[in-house]
Amino acid sequence: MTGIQIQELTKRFGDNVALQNVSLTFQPGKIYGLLGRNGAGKSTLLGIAANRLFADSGQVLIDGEPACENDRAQKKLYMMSEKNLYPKDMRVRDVFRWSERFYGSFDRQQAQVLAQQFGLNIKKRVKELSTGYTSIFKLIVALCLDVPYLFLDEPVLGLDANHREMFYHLLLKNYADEPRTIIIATHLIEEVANLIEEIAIIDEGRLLMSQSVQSLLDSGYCVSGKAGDVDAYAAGKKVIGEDVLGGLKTAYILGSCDRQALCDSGLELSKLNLQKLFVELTKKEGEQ
Amino acid sequence: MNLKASIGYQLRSSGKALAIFYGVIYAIIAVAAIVAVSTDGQLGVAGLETSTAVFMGFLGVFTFSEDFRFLIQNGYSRKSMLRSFLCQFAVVSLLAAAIDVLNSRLLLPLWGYRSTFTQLYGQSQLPGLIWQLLWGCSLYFAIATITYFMAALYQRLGRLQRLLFMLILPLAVLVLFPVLDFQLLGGTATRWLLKVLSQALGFAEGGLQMGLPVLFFLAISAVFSVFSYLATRRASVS
Repeated sequence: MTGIQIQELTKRFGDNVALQNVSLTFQPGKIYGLLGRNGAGKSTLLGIAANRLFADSGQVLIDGEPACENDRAQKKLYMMSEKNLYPKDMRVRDVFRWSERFYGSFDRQQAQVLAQQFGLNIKKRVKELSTGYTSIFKLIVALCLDVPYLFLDEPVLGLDANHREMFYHLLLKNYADEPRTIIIATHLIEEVANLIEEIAIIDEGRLLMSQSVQSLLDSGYCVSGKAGDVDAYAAGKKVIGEDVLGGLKTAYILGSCDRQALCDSGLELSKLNLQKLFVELTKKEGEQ
Repeated sequence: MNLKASIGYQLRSSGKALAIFYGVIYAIIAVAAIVAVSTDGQLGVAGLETSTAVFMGFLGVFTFSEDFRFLIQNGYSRKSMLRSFLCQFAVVSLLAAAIDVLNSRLLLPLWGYRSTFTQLYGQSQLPGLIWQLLWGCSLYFAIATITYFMAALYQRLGRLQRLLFMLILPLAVLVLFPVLDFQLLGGTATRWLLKVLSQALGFAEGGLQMGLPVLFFLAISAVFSVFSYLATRRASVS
């Protein structure tokens, strides 16, 4: 398996450029966070790879084969998204049955176990499910399908905190049992920060960065303390953001830490917060 | 991708719809028969094949609107989907045509029912039965492909284009064309079209040619299958 290669993908919807010359690789067996603001192009990117949309230029390769209109390539992936493409009158148990028939690698027994754990009534029709349970049945399909590539676009939409915890736990267990490429597109950055190994940030249709979470977090740090001391320490450094609360300040700095200066100033050092980093990197002019 | 699975899914869902359709038809006939018998009245049965044709039209529409999205979700390419839709249409058309042939044979001695085919081409024995089956099957298949194409095209069009397609085009063909033809050409074009259609339906100069309508309907199916492919090959799921 060679993973998924996104090659110079461009997609326009009328005058709106949803993706602009995006090139990216999703390697086999890793969990990716695909992050971006509303309308950044995350769902468009996944939609093109999952053959739901067509790119204006560029291509997506799945294990070296074009993804577009290719049954063999599409058989290797499952996309779970907010859009419901399942027949509204279909019962959940029939969704499981047909997923097994279509893919040939669906663990129906496990699906029933998971449905019980989540409290999902599999006799219900899709149209009778709440937003949360609509997400849940799709997540169960995703977890029980034995495909090498999973796209989860806003997977926990409508899920309560308990179900979200349960899902993350099951996802990690599923991944530990059989590693595969999982791409999670989400706004809940802090929740997935402990799950994802790699991160790709899309901003206004362009790829802002793609690297490992560890290296991204290691690329900077936070210093906190009295505002004046923080300002003095941060002078001349690459400060990407600041939080001020009364007389206290936290500065988010890219680059290596000057430990000596830090010790002398008595400031507190902490790791970069992924969400904060994302917010600072994608902040628009005029936004606070 | 597993084409057998997609065809199996579609046959299952359309089989259910077909069963409900004929269930309703027979229920109506049964109720009417009971009323007729109990009031010493006469029962007339008509339009069964027309009803089947309408059913096939709806099948084409709903196949696109529901099954297309479901099969995309399950990783099918648009090409594979079209193949499996056409297989579904073929099987359902054959089944529906067979039932209609049976209806015409069973209901004729009971209530003097004359099917559309019989009204057009007359009553005949076994070779006629086979032609009736092929005629019905190819007609229903053509209708399903036409309405599938129309549903697919409708989804791709913008608001103004839909207005043109749904309103102005039919008006132009059904009203404007005949009016202009009669006003300007004395009806020549309309008469010519009717002559061609009549021959396509088997009423050739040398006598009845049953192969012609079957070929005609199959040709329509082929054309609209190609149109359907062109309409869906870049259809996005939104």
